[in-house]
Amino acid sequence: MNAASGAVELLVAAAMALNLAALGRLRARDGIRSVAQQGALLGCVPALLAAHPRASLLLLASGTVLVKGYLVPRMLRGALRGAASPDEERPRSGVPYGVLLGAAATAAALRFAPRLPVLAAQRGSLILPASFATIASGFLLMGTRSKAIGQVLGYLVLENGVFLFGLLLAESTPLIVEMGVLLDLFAAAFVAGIVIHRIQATFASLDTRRLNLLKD
Amino acid sequence: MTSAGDLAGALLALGLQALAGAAVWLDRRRAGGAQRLACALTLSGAVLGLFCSIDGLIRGLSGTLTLSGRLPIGALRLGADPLSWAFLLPIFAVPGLSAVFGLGYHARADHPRGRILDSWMAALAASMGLVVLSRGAAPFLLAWEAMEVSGYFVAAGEHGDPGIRRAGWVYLVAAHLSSLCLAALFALLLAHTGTTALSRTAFSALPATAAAAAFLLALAGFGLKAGLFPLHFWLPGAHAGAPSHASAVLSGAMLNVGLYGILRLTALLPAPQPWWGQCLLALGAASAAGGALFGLAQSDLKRSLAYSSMEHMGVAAMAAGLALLGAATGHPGWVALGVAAAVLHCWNHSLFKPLMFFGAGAVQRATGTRSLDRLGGLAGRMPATALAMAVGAGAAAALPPLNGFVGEWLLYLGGTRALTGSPTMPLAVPLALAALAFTGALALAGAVRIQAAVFLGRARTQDAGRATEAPAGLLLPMALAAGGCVALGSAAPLAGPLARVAETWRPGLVAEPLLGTALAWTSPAAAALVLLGTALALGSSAWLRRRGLRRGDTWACGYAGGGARAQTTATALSRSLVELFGGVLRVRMEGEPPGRRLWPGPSRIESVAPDIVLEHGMAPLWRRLNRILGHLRSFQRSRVQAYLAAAALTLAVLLLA
Amino acid sequence: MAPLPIADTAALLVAAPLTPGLINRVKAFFAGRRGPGAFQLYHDLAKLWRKDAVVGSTTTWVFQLGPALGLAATLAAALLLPLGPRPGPAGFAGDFVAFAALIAVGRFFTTLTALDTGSAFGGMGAARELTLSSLAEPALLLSLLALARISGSPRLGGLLEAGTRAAGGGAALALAAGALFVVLLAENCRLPVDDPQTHLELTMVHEAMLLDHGGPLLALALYASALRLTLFAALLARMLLPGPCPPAGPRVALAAGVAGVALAVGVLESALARWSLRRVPVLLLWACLLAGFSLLLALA
Repeated sequence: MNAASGAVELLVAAAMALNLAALGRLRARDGIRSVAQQGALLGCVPALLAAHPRASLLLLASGTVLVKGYLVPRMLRGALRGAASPDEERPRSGVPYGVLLGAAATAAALRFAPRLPVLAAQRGSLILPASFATIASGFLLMGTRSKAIGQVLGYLVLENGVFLFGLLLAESTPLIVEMGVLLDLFAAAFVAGIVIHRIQATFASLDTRRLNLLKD
Repeated sequence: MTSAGDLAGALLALGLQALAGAAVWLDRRRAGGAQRLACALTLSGAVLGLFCSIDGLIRGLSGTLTLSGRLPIGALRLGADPLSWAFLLPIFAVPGLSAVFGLGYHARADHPRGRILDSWMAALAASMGLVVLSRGAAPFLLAWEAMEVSGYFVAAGEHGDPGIRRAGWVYLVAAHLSSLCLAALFALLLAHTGTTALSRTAFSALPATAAAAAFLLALAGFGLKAGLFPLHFWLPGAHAGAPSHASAVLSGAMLNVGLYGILRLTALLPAPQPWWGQCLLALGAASAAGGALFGLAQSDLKRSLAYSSMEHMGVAAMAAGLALLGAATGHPGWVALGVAAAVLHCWNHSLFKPLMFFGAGAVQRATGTRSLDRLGGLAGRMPATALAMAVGAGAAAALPPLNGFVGEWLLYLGGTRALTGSPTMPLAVPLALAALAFTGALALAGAVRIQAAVFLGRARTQDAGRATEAPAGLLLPMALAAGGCVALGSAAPLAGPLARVAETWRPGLVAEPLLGTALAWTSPAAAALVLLGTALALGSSAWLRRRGLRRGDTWACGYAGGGARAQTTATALSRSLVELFGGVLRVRMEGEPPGRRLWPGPSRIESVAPDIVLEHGMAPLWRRLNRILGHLRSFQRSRVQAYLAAAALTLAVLLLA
Repeated sequence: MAPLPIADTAALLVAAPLTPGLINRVKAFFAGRRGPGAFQLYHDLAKLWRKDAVVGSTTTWVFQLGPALGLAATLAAALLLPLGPRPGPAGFAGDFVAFAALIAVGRFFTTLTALDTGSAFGGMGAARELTLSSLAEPALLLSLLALARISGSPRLGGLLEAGTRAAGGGAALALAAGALFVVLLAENCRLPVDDPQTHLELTMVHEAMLLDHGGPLLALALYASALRLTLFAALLARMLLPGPCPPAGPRVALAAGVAGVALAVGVLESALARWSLRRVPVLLLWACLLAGFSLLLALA
């Protein structure tokens, strides 16, 4: 194992820890920070992963870090600004079951990912289990949060998981596809930011349970 | 003595115990002579039975006895081997202790209707013994049914209290479900092998799928009896409602029979699969952790103890699961340590749990309540009871050098052996060990909670303040059980008998060297720890006396007000833990808190901690089933013509098919 | 002739009050104070031991014997810990479980003693102690189990050498060490969990339980808690020490390791504020997760 792949493993492990951190954060600002850190960490991975750092890969890496680590979180914070209600999830005393479920999902991913048929080069790497764990954490985040911002964060974590999965194919995927995915993400976060802002303005709260009023 | 002699002795002992049930009717309602005679009969049965069982266990004797009689479901065969002897020990010991305790606790002069209870307790003891000695479907099912029915009357028969009546009904439902599973089990056996004998040769013909089905049926039937999560729903109510000396038998002897069943069936079933062991490990882990957690939320002393029983049965089931996993994957070390841990933990539980129920009975007798939040300060008034309960609580929390620790430690040792010795393993083992660690910490909290709420601090009510020490007749069985808890803490001499049991469970196994070396340190270590503790305690109290010991008000940061009710109650002590696991426990507050109105009047608030499986699982399930099956009622209440038509239709279908 | 293992344990028992002293020196340094000397606890213990004791009128024999019994359990735990090159004076297969159980016995008596006073503060401290330990004890046992898996040994003597025995267990070892460090902070009531120097009764854990102890009883309880801290520090140091026989000899290395752990705790305490009680269980849950993942990695 050379230094670059060691660094990749470390980054991916840190991303898995950030999954659990995001699940444990109740304040939206903390959650945004965790997700931004995760995006930025994972953005560095493609540059380290390639045997010969091509310009295109470096471009992809820097683009991802920029979008996920800076632009998207900035937009989300902007959307939250001027919120009339506190941006906090309902504080619960007690064991954060979300973190426990996330840990269980991570453990299951670590346990069962090696059984999947993957390329010999990827065997033993943390990327595949981390991708499953991150996707599961994204679903959990979306499922356990009642505020709209939490669900956007869940979507972002989910996308990070897909991104990790995509890294397994990084060598063979054309750059244009990656850039397209990045653009999609940016657009989605943009829309979500606007929606959040509008919900905020209309309902003075970000509780999605109140959106039930719109049903009829 | 020969195996036949031991078996005959054990049967005679059971007969003596049953005779005690008849003897209580010899004199008038309020005279105590018959009760003393019955106690003497039970005790002599217990001594004889213990002698035979220990003899049989130490020498590893086994033998069978056919009482002829061709019943429709097979011969009336009885038999005993070390596995039976091991489980006969608590069946003889606990009713014996309980009879002595009952003389003082449930004296005939105060409880004229106690004769009925005494008879049912005698029937319970005898039928439990017969279950363990059965070697075929006929005696097994008969004894099982007798045990279930007498268990019902012991748990709920005497009471007019509606809550206890309801708990009795729940018990009866669980008991019937359990019997149903076992009847299905024997039917399955009969269908596949043509015999209902409980022997290895009979079971060897069972195909793999039938063996798996038999395992699941046994797990459900015996799991219900042992109170494994989520089949424990009947346990807290039934054990809390009975008089304390009856609770001691229900929890110290009858729960073991469920575990005996699991061990017996898994010993006989051919070709165990790894998932059987994993199932048992998972169920045991859930029961252990769940029992410890639910117990923390209870404000009734005996309900809390009942949940602790569920916890310890879970620990024993985990040990059995480890053994089963070892048998399925070919690891004799896991088998030896697992079986030994399961049996030893059952023995331990049969010592410290009756002890704690006796203590609860003594406390209830002295104060008239078993609500933890209304007691306190009894250590000064009932020092001997407090000391005995402290030993029981320490053993229940698995603290060295007491016996509870050795049992759980053997399970840890087996699990660690699995972790260190085998390159791959199912996740069930480390998960079960994690659950065990969590259980241990919670059990400590539960033990501290009970001990502190009942005995420490100041009395919270006048009744608690007027308590007096229990009479010698009540203290004697407690002292015996507490002595047992301390004695079994040095478990080195038990290696041989436990090895006999493990070798019976899996023939061809050589367990004695492993168990001998594993347990060898316990005796010197326990002795050293007791000596160290005694020396330091004596030394420090001598030094305190020399320096001068003055008494003053408790300082409490200078705030002397508040009185006894300002002390930390049991509810307050576990409040933060209960809130931490609030998502599982679902404790709710009922009543109105004070201070909502401008001039607050008297108000009451109560924390209610119902059994989550009963309240959120079983009760809705039964309501739904009742609604669906209610439609069938119309058939039951239909007219004769409709019955005739149905019979004719059935006949026609059968003839045509 | 090499000294017996019991000599190492005796040295540990003598040196135990130095560990909190070292932590206090570090904290004084960072706070820019002169602070108490490293040997302060020895002076305190000697003074307290010579005093007479005042006990509450509601207390019973539990209060008078509790501190001594708790200390006896901690002493027994010390006998299990391997300190020199050989296993501890009383090592056997599965002794790590006995170690955790003996620490639990200490907690049993500390909490009972606190509750015997009938003071609401004692009860509050005991309730918090029991709550926090319900998550700290699983973390301790799980990380020891992970070490047992890595090293392949069921004894403390073997499993603390996991770092030198197993190749490639680095990540698992690091996670277990992290979990053990959090357990050290929680079990010994150090800073993010409990402030050992607080003067606010409402926020204390361990100190709240000792409020009503005086004279020799307080001395016993203080010494037991210093010994427990030293035991955990020695456990962690022993586990992290590189190589079977460092150049300066194992004992000097162990002493340096304990001092290093004390330094780390001191630096942490200088940098951190006490966490709100609602957040502490989350920290301990993280310790459990770290230990669990350590075990999971070791299983792979």
